[in-house]
Amino acid sequence: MIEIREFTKKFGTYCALDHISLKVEPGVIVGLVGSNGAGKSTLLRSIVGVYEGDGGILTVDGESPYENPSVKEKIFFLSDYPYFQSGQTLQDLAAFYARFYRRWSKEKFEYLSRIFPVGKKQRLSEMSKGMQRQCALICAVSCCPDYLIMDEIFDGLDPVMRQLLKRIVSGEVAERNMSVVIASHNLRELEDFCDYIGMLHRGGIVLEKDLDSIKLGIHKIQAAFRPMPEIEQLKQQLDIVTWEAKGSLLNLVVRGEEREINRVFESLHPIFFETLPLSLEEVFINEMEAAGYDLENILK
Amino acid sequence: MTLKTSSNKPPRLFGATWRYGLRKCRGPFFLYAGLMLLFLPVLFMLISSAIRLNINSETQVFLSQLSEETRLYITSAYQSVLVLLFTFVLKPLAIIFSAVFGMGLFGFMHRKRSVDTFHALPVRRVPFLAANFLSGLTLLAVPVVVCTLMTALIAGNTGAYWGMMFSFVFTQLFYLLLGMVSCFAFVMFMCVASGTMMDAVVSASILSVAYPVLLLLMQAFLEAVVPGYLFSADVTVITAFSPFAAYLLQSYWTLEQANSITALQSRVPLSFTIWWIFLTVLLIVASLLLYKRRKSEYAESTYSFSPLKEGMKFLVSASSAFGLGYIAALIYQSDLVFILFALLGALAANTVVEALYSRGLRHFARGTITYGVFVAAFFAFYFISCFGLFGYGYTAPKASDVKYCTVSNMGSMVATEYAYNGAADVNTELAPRDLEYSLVDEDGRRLADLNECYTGEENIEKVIQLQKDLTRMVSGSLNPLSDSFSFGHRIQFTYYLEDGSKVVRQYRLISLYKQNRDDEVKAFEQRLNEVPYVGEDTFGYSDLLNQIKSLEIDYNTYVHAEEVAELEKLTGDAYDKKYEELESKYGDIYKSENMFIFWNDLTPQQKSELVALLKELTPIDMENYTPTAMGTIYLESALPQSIADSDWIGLLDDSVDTDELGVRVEINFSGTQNPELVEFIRSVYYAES
Repeated sequence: MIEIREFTKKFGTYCALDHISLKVEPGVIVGLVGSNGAGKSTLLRSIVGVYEGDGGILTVDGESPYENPSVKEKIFFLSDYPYFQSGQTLQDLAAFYARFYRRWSKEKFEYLSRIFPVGKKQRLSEMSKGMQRQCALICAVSCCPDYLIMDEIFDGLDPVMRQLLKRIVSGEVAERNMSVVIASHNLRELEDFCDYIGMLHRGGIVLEKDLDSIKLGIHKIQAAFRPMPEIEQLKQQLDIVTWEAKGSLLNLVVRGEEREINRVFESLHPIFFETLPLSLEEVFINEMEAAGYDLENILK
Repeated sequence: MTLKTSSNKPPRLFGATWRYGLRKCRGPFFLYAGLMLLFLPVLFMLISSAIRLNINSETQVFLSQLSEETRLYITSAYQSVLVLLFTFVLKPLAIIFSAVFGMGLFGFMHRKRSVDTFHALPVRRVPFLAANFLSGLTLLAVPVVVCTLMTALIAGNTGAYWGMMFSFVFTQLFYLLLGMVSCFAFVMFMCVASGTMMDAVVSASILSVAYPVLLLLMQAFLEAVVPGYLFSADVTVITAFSPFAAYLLQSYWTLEQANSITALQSRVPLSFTIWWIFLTVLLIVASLLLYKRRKSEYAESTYSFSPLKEGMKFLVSASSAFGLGYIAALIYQSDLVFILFALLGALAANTVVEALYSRGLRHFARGTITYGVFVAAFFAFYFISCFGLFGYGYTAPKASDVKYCTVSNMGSMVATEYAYNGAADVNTELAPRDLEYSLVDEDGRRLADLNECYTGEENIEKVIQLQKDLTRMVSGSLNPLSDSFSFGHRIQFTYYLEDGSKVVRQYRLISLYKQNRDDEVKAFEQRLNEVPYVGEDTFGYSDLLNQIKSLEIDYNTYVHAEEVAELEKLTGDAYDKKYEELESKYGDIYKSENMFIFWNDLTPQQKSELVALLKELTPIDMENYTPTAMGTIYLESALPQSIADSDWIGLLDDSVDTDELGVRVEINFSGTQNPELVEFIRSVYYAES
């Protein structure tokens, strides 16, 4: 289990992670989303022992990963821009990782090499970005890690490859109880892949819940009123994240159980109202806005 | 699916990293190995063929039929070729590739992508860096060692003496490997201490150039303003922190200084070797410790270890200050201009280096702190120097600690230089007290070389007092501008201490002449002339015994054929008889017609046995014989029959090689009285001519 408590990481005077707390249980897929510069990559690098924290606790199976080979052996980090040595082929890459990871599986490597459409003897530098990602993923899975940490893995992969990736990783999770932490801006892909979502903004965790709770706990409401009720009055009864009124039409994003929300609205006798589920992207935007992300100015 | 079950213990990971390092640099390695192969065994083979073809008809016979003289000649010629190859080809090549491999193996820490990959691997940082360092050393050293072995084998199989060649080649190899390791450790340290490769290159370049330049310029300044200060061009000191410069300059310097090419390695100062072994170890340890502390986020940043950057800025500021200050002052002839341009030069250099490190002038204001420190240090140095460097010129050893001292009267250019400055010529009245004389007997035969000197505590005390008086005279008259880089009339005091060290003070008198204080100088010279000294007329037999360092029978000495025969009998015949016994006892012994060389370092027991044996072989009392520092006892008594048969040997031309002449008995002992030895020499030399 990855356990992070009040973890802080600073770069000089800039605080990239500010007292973050997070838990990753075995056999789950956690998605990390957040604004640019929120600290997602910093958190991943801290988990894999690349960065040393400046405060708090970060443990993997009870031990700090920093300068700890026995812990790092269980973790594989797929960074946003995988590093390859010039002239290296997939075969060379495999040989490299096989030397360092005790649990390297040649069979798995051979199997994955056949599934993904990449040449084992082709130079990695001559491959496209997506193909390079595929090669890195093949090696990552072949290392049989307990924890697979991936940063922006979907970048450059075509939709078919994304599905293949998700299928393979999910298979590993199911088969070996592997945990996955994946940071991405591709919320659509995370939506049907992750069990849990952690949302970061300005070095802090804004939201950390399982995906179903997130989706069930926040709703988009479209309602028509004549006359329009007082918003302040509504805010007293509902946890409104955002709202917008256009004439007699009111659009709201509200946290809470659907049944309770419906009850409140019915009591206000609207001309019409409906409750809609939010996509993860909509949840993200609304939560970010609530956390102070200046969407209006950004999207102007 | 099967899982590998091998353990992930540190040695396995270390080995994995080491092998990865080897694979990573295989491209440059093949180029390096190819060049080494081309320049060492292949080129040597071609040159050695040419050498053998030049040795008349002897090359037509089998190796076993070559005469001893020819084999010695071939050995010597091969050694000369190898010195040139090692100095001018292999050392530069090894130094260049130590930088190439260093950038290849340590460059990963300057890129975030590679840092992410390597620091996430299940291996600790210190072993990871150490394994990379070892990979680089393996890549650097293996081709050199293999090629050197091949060369030694070629040399040994084409006429050279095996023992002599191997000993020589391995000495060369030792210095090449030491230089290689030092340079590679230096590159590693610079990479660890820098955030980017460019920073590492800038820092390494600055340290390689600015430090030696600064030391030379500061010394020129000190010599100009501090009475008694003597400029030192010791390569070990000047290049103390720059392995690239050290190994190239040391080679060229010793090559220039050496009388013969093959004497080169014996002239590499011990201090140089010890310093570079020490600094190399220090660089390796410092790199490993720094790397352990180095944060991953330093990659691609410019602030890896800021003390290094500030140190480099200080170095460049200081060297630029003195450089630009001198140039401007020489043009405008003003001390004020010197200071002004020194400060401007430092500011310009500080700004340029800051711009290089920070890729712009964003941190210019913060960077001026270093400049402020420099300005304070510059003025402190300037005033401390101008006020005599804490009484440097007044410091002298205690008379009781001094064995003897000399006073050199230098500066033959005084008349020319002073005339150029618009004043009258200067005639110095001080006789130099350091002339070297050959002690000869009544028949004109040279017995030994002696130096004039001051001896006895009372006389030495007088000399010390005179040195202090001269300091007083010169103090305040020196000028940092006009006296820099000028020579003229100088007086040098050299004190040889009982403990073997020496203290030197040198005074430039040009400033006194400029101030028309010629009378003071002459009065001082008169006082110095009055101090009794041991000179040509006063050398006594006891002085000879006290000062004697070596006694020689060589081409400067008349030797009658009968004495030659006697010597031969005393040495060669007896040696021949003992050869088998010696070989069985001491193993690796080279024996020529009448010469033994013991190659191996001898144990104290073996040394005492050898001394006893030598006593037996010769009538010389070897009681006080001290073997050389290397523990090698070298006795040579080569007397070719052709020379022995002639009536007279002597007054031969200087160009005649000692080996060809062959008459040489050289016995070193450490300044002890040994009447028996002198008597023996006298008995040989004083034969009727």
